[in-house]
Amino acid sequence: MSGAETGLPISRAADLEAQAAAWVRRQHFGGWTAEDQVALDTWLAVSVGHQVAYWRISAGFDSTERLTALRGPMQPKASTGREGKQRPFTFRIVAGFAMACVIVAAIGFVAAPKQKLYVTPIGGHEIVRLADGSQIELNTDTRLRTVTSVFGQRTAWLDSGEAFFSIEHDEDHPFIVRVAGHRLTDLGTKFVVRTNESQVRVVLMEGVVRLESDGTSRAQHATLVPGDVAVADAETLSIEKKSGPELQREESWRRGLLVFGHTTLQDATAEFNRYNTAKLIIEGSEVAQMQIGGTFNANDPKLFARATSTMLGLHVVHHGNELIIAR
Amino acid sequence: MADTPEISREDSTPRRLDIPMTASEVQAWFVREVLPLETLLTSFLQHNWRNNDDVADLRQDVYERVCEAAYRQIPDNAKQFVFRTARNLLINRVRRENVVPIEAVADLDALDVAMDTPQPDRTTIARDELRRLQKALDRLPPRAREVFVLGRIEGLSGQQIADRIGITKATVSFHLDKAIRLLVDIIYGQPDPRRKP
Repeated sequence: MSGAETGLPISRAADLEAQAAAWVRRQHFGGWTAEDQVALDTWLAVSVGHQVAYWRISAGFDSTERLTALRGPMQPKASTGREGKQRPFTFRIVAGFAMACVIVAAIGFVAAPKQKLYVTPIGGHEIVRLADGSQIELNTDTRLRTVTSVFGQRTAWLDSGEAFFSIEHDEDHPFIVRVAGHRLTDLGTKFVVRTNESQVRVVLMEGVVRLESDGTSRAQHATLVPGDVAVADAETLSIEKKSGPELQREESWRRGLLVFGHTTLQDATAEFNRYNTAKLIIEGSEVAQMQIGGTFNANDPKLFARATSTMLGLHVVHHGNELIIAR
Repeated sequence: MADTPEISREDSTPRRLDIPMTASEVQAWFVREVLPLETLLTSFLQHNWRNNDDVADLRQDVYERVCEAAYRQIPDNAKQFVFRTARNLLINRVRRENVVPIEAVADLDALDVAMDTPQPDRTTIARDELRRLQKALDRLPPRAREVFVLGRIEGLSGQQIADRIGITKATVSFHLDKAIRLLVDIIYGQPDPRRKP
């Protein structure tokens, strides 16, 4: 994509424009993750040139929003024998409705009858107590919906972010968590679930949980026991064992802490950026691979930045709402 | 006219050492005040620079300079600032490359007239944005148009578009990127291919 790589004298503006268009396309046409957002933010932080190219393309693209008004009339022509493909449209209505609820939910309100929506902002942390005594603890930037019915059905959708579940056992009514194309059926347990919408990561602390795909992704399933860390997406499922301090680290966010041990700066800053609107940015791939350990307050990126300068001899530059860590 | 400063700084004074504007403030200003000037800016650059191949790069340079300045302080008069920056940029390029006589760059008086002429394209946007967008869509190459319609209007993902019309996801991405770039160009008012040969 880059003209600089080929050495051809292609226009600098055209090259930047192509990169900006690729970002906007990736953002809007499937599978945009929190990691992608960090990558975009990093790319934007490189230069004002990157910024103006992206601002221009994304503003222009946004102004095509009105074209979605054409959706109705064009549907009959396009809908020949593809019932299953209608979902994105329906999904958008649901998403639109959910968005409307977010504003209300932000002050902890009930969205629809029986269904409740909980949203935490960046840096937020909230404990949801359900009527059955179960407890769900939401981490930063998280969206969760719960449905409880009079018949005892207990289901939660983790749409994005991370949550700690502490579930009261009910033999007849297992608690089900639906997340990123998977279903977790819990039989009285404590576990952490994290998703970036396409992938789900489950850490089991206590009890037993069954993890299976819900049919939209490839059939795969596993029964998890304490210490299991399962990562699943539409294609794959992998399980890894963790114990002791490593396992404790998985739920350190519940105390507002980030615990690192031989963690690369790249991973550590990505973690901090989940919790804060002031973003940490690393300059240079070599710096990104440097390792750091320690326990930090998740809401204090400045302190972490200072630690990189004292522990690793790096320099920290403030740039607007960004803290740039460089050699 | 003769002793033009290298780069006009009038609108960015007083200069400060820190950076008082955040990226989102500059972005909002850029989208609101600068991008709508693109038609005018592009034609200004086309008229005053003999090589049309350079125009996109020159425009990018102008955008970068005005935003760098905006990070220090948002200029009061965006239009004036953008065109003053463009003019200074052209003058510097002329001096550096020593290819065109300096007189080739239009003087500011002539420019002011052009700047006060209302832009027909902008009123069109306000009056009938949807129709304009449809027209823009119709100007896309067929494949790019098809892919963009499926994605933007019907809300399919890249993978779903690929499955639907039986091409690879990479090809879908290629056409989507192309559609996005062409649409943005058309939306901001270019190119009426009334260019000099």
